[in-house]
Amino acid sequence: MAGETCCVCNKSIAGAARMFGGRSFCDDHYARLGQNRRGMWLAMLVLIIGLAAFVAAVFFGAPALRTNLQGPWLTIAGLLLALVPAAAWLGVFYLQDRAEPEPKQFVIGVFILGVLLAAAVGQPLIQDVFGVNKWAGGSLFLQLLAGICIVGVTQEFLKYAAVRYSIFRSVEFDERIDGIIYGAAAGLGYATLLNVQYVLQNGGVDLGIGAVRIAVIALAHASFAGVTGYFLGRAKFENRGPFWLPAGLLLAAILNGVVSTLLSEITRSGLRPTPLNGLIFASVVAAATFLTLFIIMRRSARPGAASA
Amino acid sequence: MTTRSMLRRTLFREEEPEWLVWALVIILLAVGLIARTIVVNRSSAFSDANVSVSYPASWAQAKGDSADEVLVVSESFDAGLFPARFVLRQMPVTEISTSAQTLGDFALKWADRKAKDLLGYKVLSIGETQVRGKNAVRVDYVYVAEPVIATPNSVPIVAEGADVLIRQDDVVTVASMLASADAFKGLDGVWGRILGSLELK
Repeated sequence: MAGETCCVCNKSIAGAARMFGGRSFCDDHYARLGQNRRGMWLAMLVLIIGLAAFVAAVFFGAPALRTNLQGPWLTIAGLLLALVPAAAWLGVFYLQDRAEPEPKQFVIGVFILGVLLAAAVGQPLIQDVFGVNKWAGGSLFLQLLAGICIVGVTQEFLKYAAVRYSIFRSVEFDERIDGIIYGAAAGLGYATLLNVQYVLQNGGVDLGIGAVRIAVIALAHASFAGVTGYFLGRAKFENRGPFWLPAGLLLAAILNGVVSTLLSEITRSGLRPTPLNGLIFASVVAAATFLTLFIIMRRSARPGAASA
Repeated sequence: MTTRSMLRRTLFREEEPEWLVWALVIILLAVGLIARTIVVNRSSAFSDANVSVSYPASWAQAKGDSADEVLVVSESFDAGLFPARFVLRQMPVTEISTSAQTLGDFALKWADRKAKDLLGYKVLSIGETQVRGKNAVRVDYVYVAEPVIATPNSVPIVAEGADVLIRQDDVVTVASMLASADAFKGLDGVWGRILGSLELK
């Protein structure tokens, strides 16, 4: 196999190339293939449990704060709340990932790219061009159809694009788990924009219901993008065939449409909002998604590789 | 090598061809666009002894505020803070004015009446029009409205409306279209289709 180049760093491989999934690797990148970063999974776990606990505390424990904040202070409090999920995830991720940290500027860059693509392309396309809210609320079938074919595919493609056309070809994308890390960053970016929009459109939020909604959106979008990220991560290091990436995007879009439709159904009982149902459901979806990805990543690690 | 295998090699020469992802996005968005077109152009019909009209099927009937409101239909509450609305009223001519002679006179009296009911009411224009061959007069206006779904911190919005008055014998029919000022112009096609279907019996 002399004369081959590593599929990650594109450097010539002296001697026999290490092969995995039909691709050639240098020794250094072959060694990293099976890594399954503990810090990333822990950050995700802390995000899910911590966010649910924080939001429940705001919902139940701070009625005084809710009534005392008015006008611009309420808007500022809402905007700060909108940033909590991404800040919490990034903070815990870097605390846990100090041994071999993913470059901060790239993770934050993909997060910002997620925000920008959502603001410049995603939400204008969904709200203004397709006007989904104006016609898709008539029946469950229509909600699902629009949720998958318009909202789901647009949002998930933009998160996919934020990773695929930026960091994906970089040498820094050197582990399969990086797909999930950068996917989650793009997803949290998209969610942050949705949450900021929600706060600004409503001139602030009721801190209880608003905090729950912000957490639900963040958990849901991080989960959907984690799925796309998993498919991207494996596509970079293995020959998975031509339909691998479209299948990943389709799966994420379906998950987005189904979960969003179910969330809109269970977060109201008649005209009465029931936001805690949404929080429980979104936490379960996020936990189930990342647990599934964790198990798959462990099983697909190459034989003999460290998996923790 | 056959043409089919050459085509296959050309299309799938990369390990993960990117065009398949774009194709999937385009196909799903096209399905969504077709669904939207079908739903938006689908209409429901309302008919009673005096009037019949069609409105977008995705709109829901609502309860009227007064006895003269024959039909009130509105966009879904998810459509925004002030969903677009169509209101059809029928009332005796004398309820608007006992002295008015022309449709223009009726329009002025009608505008006076609305000015008392609506906050910041301002007439933008009054002009003659036709509804299915019948002479009518149209009053375009703006006013300040509370959002339909208000939160404690919601601020009032500017709403835009158009009332079309049609007189038939001793009855005046008023077809009103209301939306937030930002959305009103974008609903021209919908207003046109509703008015085009309005038939007085």
